[in-house]
Amino acid sequence: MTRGPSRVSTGGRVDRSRPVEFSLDGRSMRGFHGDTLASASLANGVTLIGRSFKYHRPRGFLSAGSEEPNGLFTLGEGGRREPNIPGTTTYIAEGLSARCQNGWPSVGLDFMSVNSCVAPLLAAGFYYKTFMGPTRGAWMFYEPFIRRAAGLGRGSYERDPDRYETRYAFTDVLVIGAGPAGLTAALTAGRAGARVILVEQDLLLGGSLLLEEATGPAEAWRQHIEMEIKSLPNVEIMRRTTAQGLYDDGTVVLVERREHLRPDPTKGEARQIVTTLRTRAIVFATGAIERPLVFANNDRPGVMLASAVRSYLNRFAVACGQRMVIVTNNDSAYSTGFDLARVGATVIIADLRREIDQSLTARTEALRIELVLGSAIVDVLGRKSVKSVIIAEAPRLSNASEHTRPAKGRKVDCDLVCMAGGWSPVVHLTSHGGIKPRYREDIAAFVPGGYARGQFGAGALGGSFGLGAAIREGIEAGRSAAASCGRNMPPNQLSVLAPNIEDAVAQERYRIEPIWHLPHRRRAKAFVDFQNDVTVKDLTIAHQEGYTSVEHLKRYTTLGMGTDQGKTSNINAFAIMASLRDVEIPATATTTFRPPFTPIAIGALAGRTLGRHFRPTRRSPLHDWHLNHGGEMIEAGLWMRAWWYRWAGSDVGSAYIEEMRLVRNSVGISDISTLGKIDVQGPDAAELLNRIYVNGFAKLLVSKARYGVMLTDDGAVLDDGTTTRLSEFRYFMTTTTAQTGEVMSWLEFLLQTAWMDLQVHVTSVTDEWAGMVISGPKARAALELALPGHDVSNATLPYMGCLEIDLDGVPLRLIRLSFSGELAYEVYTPADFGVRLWEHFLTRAAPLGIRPYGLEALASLRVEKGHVAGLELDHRNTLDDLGLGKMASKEKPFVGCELRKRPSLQSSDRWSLVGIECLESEKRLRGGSILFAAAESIEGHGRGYITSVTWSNELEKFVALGLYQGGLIHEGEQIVCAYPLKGEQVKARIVAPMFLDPTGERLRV
Amino acid sequence: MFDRKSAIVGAMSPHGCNGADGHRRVRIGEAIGWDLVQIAAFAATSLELESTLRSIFRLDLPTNTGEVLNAGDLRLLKTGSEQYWIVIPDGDDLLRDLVVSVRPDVGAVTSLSHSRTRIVVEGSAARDLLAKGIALDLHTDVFVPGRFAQTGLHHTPVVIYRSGPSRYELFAMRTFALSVWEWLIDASLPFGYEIVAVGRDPLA
Repeated sequence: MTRGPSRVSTGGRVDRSRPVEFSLDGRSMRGFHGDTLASASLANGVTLIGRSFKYHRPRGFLSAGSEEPNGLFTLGEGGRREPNIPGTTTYIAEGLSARCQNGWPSVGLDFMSVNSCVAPLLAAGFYYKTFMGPTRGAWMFYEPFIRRAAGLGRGSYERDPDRYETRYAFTDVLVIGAGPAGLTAALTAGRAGARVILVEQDLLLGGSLLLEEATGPAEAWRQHIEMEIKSLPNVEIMRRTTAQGLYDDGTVVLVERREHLRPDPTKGEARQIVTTLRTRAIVFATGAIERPLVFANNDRPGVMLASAVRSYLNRFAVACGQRMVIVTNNDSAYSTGFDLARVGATVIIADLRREIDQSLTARTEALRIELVLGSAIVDVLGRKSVKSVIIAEAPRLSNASEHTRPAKGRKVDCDLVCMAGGWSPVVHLTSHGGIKPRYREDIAAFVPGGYARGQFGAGALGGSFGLGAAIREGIEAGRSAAASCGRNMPPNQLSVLAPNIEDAVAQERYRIEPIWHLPHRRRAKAFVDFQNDVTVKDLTIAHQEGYTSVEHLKRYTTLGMGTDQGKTSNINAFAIMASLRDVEIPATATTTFRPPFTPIAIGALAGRTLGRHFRPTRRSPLHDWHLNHGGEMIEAGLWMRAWWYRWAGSDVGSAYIEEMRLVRNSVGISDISTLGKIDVQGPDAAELLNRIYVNGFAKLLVSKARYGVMLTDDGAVLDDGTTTRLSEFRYFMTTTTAQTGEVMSWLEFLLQTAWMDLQVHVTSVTDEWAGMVISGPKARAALELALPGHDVSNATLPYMGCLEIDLDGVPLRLIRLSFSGELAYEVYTPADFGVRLWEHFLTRAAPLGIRPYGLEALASLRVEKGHVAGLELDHRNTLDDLGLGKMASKEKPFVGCELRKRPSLQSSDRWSLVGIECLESEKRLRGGSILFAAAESIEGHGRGYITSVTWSNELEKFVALGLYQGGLIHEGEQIVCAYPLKGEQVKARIVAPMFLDPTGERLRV
Repeated sequence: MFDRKSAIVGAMSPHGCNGADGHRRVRIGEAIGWDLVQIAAFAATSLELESTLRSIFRLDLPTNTGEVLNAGDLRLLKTGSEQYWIVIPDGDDLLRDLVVSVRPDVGAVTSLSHSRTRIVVEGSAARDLLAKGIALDLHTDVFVPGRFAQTGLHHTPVVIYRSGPSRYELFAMRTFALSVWEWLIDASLPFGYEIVAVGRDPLA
């Protein structure tokens, strides 16, 4: 007789007419459509599929579902390479390339298995002890080696070429899980007229029904229900979709995996899709996971969960062995024995219990199954596959300790061991909302501690392991969920008949005896957590060292960590912990369940939020013109702004100086569309402005503009800008580019909360108006050329004056004010006309030599003039810090007027605005330089820093603005500007923060 | 007079791309040739403004935010408790009439014609496309044709108006419009898309 797994000639739910070629560790294999990587590997006789995390022990598949701790593979090549993917949930596709993990050079011959020889050094917490000496820094030396020796698979640094998507969805009722309870819940809610989404992480619907024979009544019922659900247009089925987390207000995050469809990213096909689903009601029908038993060498390849073996047989037509021993503490394992016996396997059942139901005894006899009551497996022999087991008398207590000497047993040859330690309801999702699970002694398992409003549970989740109960509860949960959404139907129209399957009756009487782990030899390893190599001994050590909380136990031993998050290990660990502490299991509680339920690729969470779609780009109406005419762009928040132009130089350092020269000597034009613009209208508009700005606005005349500064309510400077009065009740406010949103929100907040009585309305018109500034001694001449027939003389349009004109049907708003210190005009026009107006100015004023200048020159011109901007307005400075204290009105209150008077904000040694001029001609000043007094040692945070710096053509030296302790008290003193990143120290002098035209003659001409 | 230049004119060459199933299940275009006027009452003048607007339009105004009044070429959206958007063909004298009719102590009239880019999305996959970026329930029973919502798309504020069972109009901020457009095109790839020429009603 052959040993090990093999494909059965008939049965199963794979499509034998559709063979699929794939490779495992470079070896070509064949499976069928519908096979998982696990089933196809087993069908090809592969049992050794990996090495364990720490000890590098040979491992095989434990389960057939998402709880799999051992069967992790690295899939794909290059950028598609993805480690730690469970073979049990990966469907094979043509050409799939899979590699086993954690073995070098192979899992068959793994040199790192030497770790097993030094296992005593590697017990729980070893890295806190073994590798802490001989010196204090020793851990730093050991750590890279330990990380290389342990750990799971390795990812790729290459760019993933696949596409991932995110989306939003809404539904009345979400049903999670498409087992018998979920199917009937979805059908019931759908029939009641609710919008229903049914999610199932598997490719097939059916859940536990898929464990039944593929040709029996269960399958017929499953297909019938599925067909009925599909006929309902208001029910959407999402297969291969995992509900990863439950969040507030019924929000659930779903991840759909489509790898098996071989999606083509060039066609936009996504490999995974994340859905943020808002629900009105939820039915949890998440079922239960079978747990292993803890005994010596229970991790050998060929030791599997009984339900998994049944799944491989009935769903995938794979017999996992020919001679099997089942060890169980409950009734459910018998079905596996019955099914394997029917296909000719030799079956022995070692039941830890001493009494079982008569019907089970009768059926074992009928199928010639050897039944050994009151017995346990106390050891497994065989290294890379199961060769035999030792069966001995079972302990009578559930708390058999590690050191219990096992009774002498008998050796039984076999190639497969099935463990059946009972069922753990999948309480993860119901716990995400903060409802702790509760322990039910009758089924020896945790069940949901309750459900939030509008949320319901059904089936095995609540501990109802029978098929009839699952269907009844599914119907009731579906009806209740639909009703909670206002969809009611009479019960007689919602009934669903249960299938007449052979095991249904037995399942209804599920009985378990809570025996958690079995006696074993002192030196043998009995694993509790397979993925993290945590043994009973590790738990004992943790207990001896005082880790009595399961949360601490988890962190100390790594139990329940990793990709499976302890789905098969937690309950056994809690039980052993309880036994060691001599308390009942509920007293140990559970660890905290957090999303995600299964691992999620970071790419799936990112979706299309990458590259140029990472965030939106904000573009001026003149954006394309800049690009097409030598403009070099720079990010400024979300904006892209013209930084400098190639007409002026080959790099920013030379270009901005040339552009500054243009503005100081002739005329330039610059894009200021990014300035915030707010339309302020209403009878109380002046009152609003008067309250917002520190200076008075009540008496501003129509067609006049005024510079204003506004504070936060705690007295720091919020923003500055100009506001122009367009008519009696209408003003045009501009803000800095950086603070646009903040100022707009601040105004709306105040009007909607504090000043609801004000008859004012504010609207952002930043996007409505394109803006440009024409600046330089020839600016008026440029306007006269471009706007023939319009009087822009000093008399008609004086400094801080405004003029609204119509240029051949296009409205223009001219405001004469200056950021550069030169004669300048801001010109605004509706955004769609922006490019044409800009070109119009350049064309008409060409005889004057007008050219564009960019952000670098714009910002540098203002430094020379001594105007503060974003770098100085950092929400930490006061009016006095910035030399603007005299602007504050004493005749009216304004936002921040009281708190700005706090003593700490009035201190004379605050860092205040100063001008700084460079004293060393061969050196330069740099923004961010730390300022020190001349004789001071260069260490610490200094006395201030440079906020903005520029080369001054006029002064032929670098000049800067900065904040300095005490401010202009130190005017004339020599200082040192230190720039530690470049090791520079430059001598400079404190001067008034205005480097040219202190009387403002230029801008008033 | 200068011609108007759309924010997304550079991306508007008519072309398309088949989806994974070989079809083009969304059509996308930009609507031009319209004006947008915002009218807002002040805290104490909402009744007076409503009265003024009723006398201008000779129609009952929408009562709830999200509702729309369609009257010929005019579309009036109630965007807030005391605020309306009016969409009209460009060149219409209505804006001038409103400025004259709505006294400045009764309401604020603001032109927003250039502040928004109007993108039209239509087709059997239009809802699925928009569901990738808009966190609203777009089911026909919930977001019924003829209603609009103020929401977000690609981190920017948009107004979405459902002009038919499978047709939507997005009013995106002009300065973000190209980013929103590029996002839409990328999101359309799996469905297949057709970019149609710019026009007053590009998908007509």
